[in-house]
Amino acid sequence: MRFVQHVMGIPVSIHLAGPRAGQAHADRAYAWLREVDARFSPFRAGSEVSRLNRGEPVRPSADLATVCHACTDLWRATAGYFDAHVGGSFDPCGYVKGWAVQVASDRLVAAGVTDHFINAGGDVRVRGRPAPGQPWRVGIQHPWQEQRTAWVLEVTDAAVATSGTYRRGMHVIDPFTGRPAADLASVTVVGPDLGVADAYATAALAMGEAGLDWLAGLDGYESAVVTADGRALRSRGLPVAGAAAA
Amino acid sequence: MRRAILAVCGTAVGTALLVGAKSAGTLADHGVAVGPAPGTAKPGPVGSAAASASARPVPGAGPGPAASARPAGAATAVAPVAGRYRDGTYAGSSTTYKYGTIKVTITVSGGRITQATATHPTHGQSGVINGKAVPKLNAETLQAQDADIATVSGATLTSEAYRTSLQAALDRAGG
Repeated sequence: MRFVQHVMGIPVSIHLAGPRAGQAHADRAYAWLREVDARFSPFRAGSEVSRLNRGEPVRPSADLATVCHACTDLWRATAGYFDAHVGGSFDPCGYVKGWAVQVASDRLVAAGVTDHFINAGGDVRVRGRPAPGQPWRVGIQHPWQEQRTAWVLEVTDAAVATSGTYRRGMHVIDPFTGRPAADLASVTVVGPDLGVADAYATAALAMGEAGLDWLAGLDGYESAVVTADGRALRSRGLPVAGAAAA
Repeated sequence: MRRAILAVCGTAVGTALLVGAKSAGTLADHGVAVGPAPGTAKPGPVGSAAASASARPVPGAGPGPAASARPAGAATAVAPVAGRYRDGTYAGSSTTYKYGTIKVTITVSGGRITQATATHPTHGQSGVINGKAVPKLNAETLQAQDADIATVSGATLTSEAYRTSLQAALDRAGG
């Protein structure tokens, strides 16, 4: 069963497979994502994040504390290239989307829907199989050929996040130069957690060429990169199709 | 006010030089905060702001900085307000660590940071931040495939762009 709804200005595609698939599960997942938008968007005056930024005496929810701590950990893990404190206020958007999808996927598994994927605007969390014996096949968008893929992954339990400079209006600033990062066209990170994978991909894009070595040193997260000059690079453990359960 | 955030987040906030959001505008657009709030900044150039920014490690330098690497003043500083810095150019002191020496300079115009530049290491053990290190990832030929896939991962796809996207085609095609 396939569903598409738009949340936070991005399309969210949900595909449920297996015997427990049902519309009610997708509805709950979309409701959660809308809840996250309402609670964590810095663009909504009533959100927990906005109230925090205004200095209102809020009692932080467990979710808010989770997000804050994760952002701090990511700031450390990315050598400061992922930073949720920009412009003097707290903006956890770079983590929250992936985290929210990860939680939605976890809840589907807890509800018995162990075979599914959720794709939120290009960041994907995959679980189980589309059919017995088959892995999910996840394409990595080719940066310059919109309808084609640069790699195909075969996965049964993975987060796949991509950051890129190739879509109009999208750019990431290199904090050391103040200029848009331009070395890398596309960075994909594959691993267990979608919030982390998304933050890593964005951070590596900001690092530019130096991000290649940084990605290679990650523990538990594989990567695939297309450089602005058209080189393709990937980590050895990337679960590409045809790699025969490498 | 800022204390409330610190209490929750357990992290200091004064040195946000990075604009890492996918849809980030320019530095000037964001009025990026660097270092202590204006009220606590020492007059004249050589702000501790830039110095603290320069203390950030280069990627590949191993574990990131401890929270204590942030300037002590930031913990009690009020939230920096865009448009309230003193105009001028602020050069941080050079900071040397194992990958070389980095010096950050910021320019404030009209009360906002309009430019932030960093000199990269020209000496040291590695020129990794200069970006020409030998990649440790496997090099391949970039392919353009029309593969049979369930879904596609890519740079942030907005609702506006969805209609003509590969993902939309996959959603339509799926059963």
